[in-house]
Amino acid sequence: MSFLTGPMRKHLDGHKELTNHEDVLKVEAGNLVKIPLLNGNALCQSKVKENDLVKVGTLIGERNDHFYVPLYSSVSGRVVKIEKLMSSALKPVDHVVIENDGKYEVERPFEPLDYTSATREQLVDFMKKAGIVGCGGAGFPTYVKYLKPDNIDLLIINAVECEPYITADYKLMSLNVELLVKGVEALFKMSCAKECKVCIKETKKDFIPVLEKAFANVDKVSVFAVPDVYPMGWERTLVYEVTKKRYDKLPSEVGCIVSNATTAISFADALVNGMPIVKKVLTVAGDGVKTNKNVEVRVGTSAHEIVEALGGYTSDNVLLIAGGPMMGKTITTDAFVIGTYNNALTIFKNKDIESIKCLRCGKCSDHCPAGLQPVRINAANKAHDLDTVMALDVNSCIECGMCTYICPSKINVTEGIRQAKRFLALKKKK
Amino acid sequence: MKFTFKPSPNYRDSLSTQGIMRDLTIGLLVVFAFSLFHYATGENLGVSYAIRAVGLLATSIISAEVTEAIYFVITKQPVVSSLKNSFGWVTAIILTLMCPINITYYALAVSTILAIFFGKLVFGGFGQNIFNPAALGRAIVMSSFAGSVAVDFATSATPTASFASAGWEMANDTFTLFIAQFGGLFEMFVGRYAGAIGETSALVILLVGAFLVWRKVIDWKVPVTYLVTIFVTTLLIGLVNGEGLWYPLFHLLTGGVMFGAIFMLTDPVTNPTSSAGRVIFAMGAAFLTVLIRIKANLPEGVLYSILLMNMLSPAIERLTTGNQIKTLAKNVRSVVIIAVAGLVVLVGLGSTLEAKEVRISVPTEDIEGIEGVAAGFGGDVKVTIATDDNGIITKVVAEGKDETETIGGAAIDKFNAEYFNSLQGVALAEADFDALDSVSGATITSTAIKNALKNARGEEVSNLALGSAYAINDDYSSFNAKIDNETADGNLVTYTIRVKGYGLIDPEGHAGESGHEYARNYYDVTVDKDTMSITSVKMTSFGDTEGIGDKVNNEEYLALFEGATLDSEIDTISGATWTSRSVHAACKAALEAANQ
Amino acid sequence: MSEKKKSSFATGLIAENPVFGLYLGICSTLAISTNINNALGMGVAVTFVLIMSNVIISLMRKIIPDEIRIPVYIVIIASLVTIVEMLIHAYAPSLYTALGAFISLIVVNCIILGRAEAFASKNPVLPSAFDGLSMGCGYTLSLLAISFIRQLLGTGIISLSNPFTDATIFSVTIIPENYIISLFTSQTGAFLTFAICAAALSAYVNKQKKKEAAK
Repeated sequence: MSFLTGPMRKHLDGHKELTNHEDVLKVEAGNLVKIPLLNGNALCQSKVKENDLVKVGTLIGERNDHFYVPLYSSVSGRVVKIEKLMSSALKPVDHVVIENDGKYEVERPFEPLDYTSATREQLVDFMKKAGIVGCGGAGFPTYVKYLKPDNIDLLIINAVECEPYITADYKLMSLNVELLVKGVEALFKMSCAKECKVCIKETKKDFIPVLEKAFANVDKVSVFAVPDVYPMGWERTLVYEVTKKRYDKLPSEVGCIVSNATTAISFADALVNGMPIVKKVLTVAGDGVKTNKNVEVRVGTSAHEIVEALGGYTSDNVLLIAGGPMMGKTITTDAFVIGTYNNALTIFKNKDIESIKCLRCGKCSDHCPAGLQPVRINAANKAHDLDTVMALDVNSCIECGMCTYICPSKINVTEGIRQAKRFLALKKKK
Repeated sequence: MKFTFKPSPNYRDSLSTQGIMRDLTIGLLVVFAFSLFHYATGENLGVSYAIRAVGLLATSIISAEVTEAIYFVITKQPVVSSLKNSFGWVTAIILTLMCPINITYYALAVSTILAIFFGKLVFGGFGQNIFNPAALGRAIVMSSFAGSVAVDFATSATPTASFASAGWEMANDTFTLFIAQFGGLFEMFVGRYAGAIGETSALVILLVGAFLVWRKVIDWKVPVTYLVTIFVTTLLIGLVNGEGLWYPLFHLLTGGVMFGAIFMLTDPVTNPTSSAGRVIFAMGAAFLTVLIRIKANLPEGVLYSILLMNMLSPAIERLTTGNQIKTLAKNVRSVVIIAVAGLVVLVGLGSTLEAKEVRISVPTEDIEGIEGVAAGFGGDVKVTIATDDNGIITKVVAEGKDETETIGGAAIDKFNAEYFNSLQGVALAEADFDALDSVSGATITSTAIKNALKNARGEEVSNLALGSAYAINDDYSSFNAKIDNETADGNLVTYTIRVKGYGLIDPEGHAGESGHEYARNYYDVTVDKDTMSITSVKMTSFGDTEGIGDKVNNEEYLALFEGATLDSEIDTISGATWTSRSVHAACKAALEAANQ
Repeated sequence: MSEKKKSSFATGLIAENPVFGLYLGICSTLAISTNINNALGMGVAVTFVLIMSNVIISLMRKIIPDEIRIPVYIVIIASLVTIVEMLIHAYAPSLYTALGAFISLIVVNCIILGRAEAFASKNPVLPSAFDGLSMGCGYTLSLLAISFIRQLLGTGIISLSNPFTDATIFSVTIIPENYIISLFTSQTGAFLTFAICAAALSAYVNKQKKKEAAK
């Protein structure tokens, strides 16, 4: 960020006050709970078949490619079928449909572990078996980050939550500070880092003292306040903010590991209670749903049930977004279910947005956190100029949506970049 | 229940292009309002000027919208929505603000039409033009309609044009006088001086600029880079030439620099899209502005520097291609190289500037006092002498609207600025006006001032500005006086004589330069044979230098020859010696003929 | 035979108009087209050279060796241009001063060399002459079009005078002096007028092509 570049960030109106101070509503799972056999974009195999009886904690699925991720049942009951349904990955995926018997009988898949006495390798193995995945939205198998920490100076706990509307992390943290501390300590041990910083937005003035007090007795772990801008929660932006260093592919290149705060809490929950992720706290917000609140649901609950519990939709034409409004994708049915790493449902009334001609103001280039020039990528794409598209480093785009947000002509710039990426991929295949 | 699919993101900022253009229009109209105020209340201006400004603005906006409407009809696009989203009126307002108040309606209308058509529509409409259409329109006005001015709306010379004719360099004290003509640097900052309709007030433009930056309409880096670069470059040039801080300030405040910085360089369509690109763009424009001002034959460099940099925008974009974080080092290098190269070249060229002679018209104060009048070169010269209660002169001011700019007018300025100082504190009755210096080369005007002073004191002054005296009996053979006719009436003989004058003798080789055909001067000289003296001289035909020699053809002067004999010495008219001596020659010929 | 001839005459005028369609001979077009007199003079000169050179090259096409054909064409064209130049100098001196160096530059006018290469070297005499005539007429017409617009808008006066005697044949002031747009007498105006005419012709040709395709 210098005189020759734009700010590459922007404060968005987060509307957090809509759900910040409300209590978390527990939404009971319905008759049928459908667990997606999905981790991120990767498919998993089912470990159960029709008519199997399962309990809370029973292993029902596994991802077995280069990463290992186990999936556990979140209710007790009988497996009805394996059904293909639309998932939040925008493609139909196998779901394990379980008839909920309402008893929530538990079958602990693993024993709790004392992280203070366990070795690093034991912790990593535990994490793998517990199926802890990144709860920042991508669902990456967390244990992979800690397999071989090499020259790690800093562990960053990402409690920033920069997507507008979402307050799930904040809510979960404020209700589970002790678990957070335990989780952070465990991750700190696993990372072999010299220092740990828990990063939170500086505008959370009530909560920062709480965190500071909680970590006061933990050696080398401090609370670090970051500006309230989007996309401060993005790994690259956060690492740059804390260390002023930029990396090429992985934060480990500059000696950092980044983990989400909810991931730390889930890990702590597994360590202390021997339970994998079976419940999720998510924020349901937006003008498309009657009540805006944080809800706690069982993994496998459908969006439809959640919205029903909150009073239903406010209009008959809505945008149902899995995630926050910036990076979340619209799903065309509310039958899709909450997985282990979904943390929000944002529902808007569908409004037509008229876009006019690009006036080449360059605001998108000024605010792109990855330093790209979206307006030029779009122009080159329209002109089918492949060389310029390549020169503009289009594959560094994470589709954070900042360019579209800021565009005064209301053009969907991000979509143009996606097209350019596809165009490039197509040409490269040939 | 419909769940619509819309690609992410589904969140938008409130800032919109329509909002940006609306804020820009408001800003421009504020600048326009200031200029209306300036016209309505300014010296030598008036409400009619303000009305004309409004008329010009309306003409331009209407021309722009009609052109666009016709284009949309021909290309079968929905007219109203296309007009709304094409923002043609912004171009029209900017173009109007760049033009002088005395441009004709026709010129502005045609330029707007050509600017909109060739500058915008032909490229694909809003968002796709390469050149700033308002700048293009102004360039068309400059190249086609420079002479088209509305006669009733006089404008005085602009500071830029005046300074340009002085060679863009001036000694420090000369500048103090020079800028006093326009009210001083502060007045230039506020904007109450002659210039284009909207470009004069740096103060208002900067305030509007700050507003626009706050509203996120324009990128602050562009005007800041532009102004700072101009400041630094001209500061260095000024230092090299020994000029003070006023030099860079003057550059910043004159011409279209402020206006261009805020409203034209920041036009998002025509400048590069990345921050680094825009910085390079602004720097390049600044260097070009200074270069064109000091080295090209145009007083106004901003306009063409903008057009040239617009042309280079795509090249700058190519230069700054890539991921901005990864190319940061390369971009910094580019900026530094351009900055250093620009400064070196321009300071080098700037050191070759030479100050030229410039006429600084000292503003004549209106003072109360006794007035005197005398005939000057082109018309009357008027002086006003202010005295205190004791009859001591406190101030003298001379005025001569019809004298020549650079000679007579400059002479009057010198009297006002210097020579009259010697009269202050002297008693009116005792002042020796003849002892005042005369300005060489402006004898007639100088003599006229002195005569006017005497006239103010109540003395009889001859309206003639007389010079040296010559004897009638001198050698006038070169004048070739010829007697054509002779009529006797008792002892009075009237000779019709034709004599060569200045034009035909051509002592300095100037005759024929003006293409004027010179002829002899014809006189009727009446001699009294008894007294051997001239009784009257009349000029019947004048063929000599117009505007100079024809002062001889004056009853009052010719009356001087009455009673002249061969031994007399009669004055000549100052500045018209040769033509005067043609009278001498005629008289001599007449007297000699009578003698026979 | 006459059907083909007709279509090729129209082709030279419109579809393959050398100036607006094929973009040949632009520099002389832009420089000369300030008034109708010059345009006519230049047009006639070029047409004459074009026809003659096409005829001569066509007559000699079988004996000119392929490797040195370009220098040979240029020698032929240059000789013709020199003759034309001397004739103009002798009989129409005011036209000579007005056209100046551009008469000599007819030698390198791409139209002439282009047609020699593309047509005259491959076709018999009469068709070549005809081609020269149609191309030359197309050139003259485009020159007249541009100079009409430029003269009208730039000076307000449409006038024609006899190049041999300098007598004015007619002179009509259409736009009063206060309303002329002097931009058009300069090179900028030349480019702008040229662009508009070329665009208009292109649009017309495209429309015709669409009609043809639709049939």
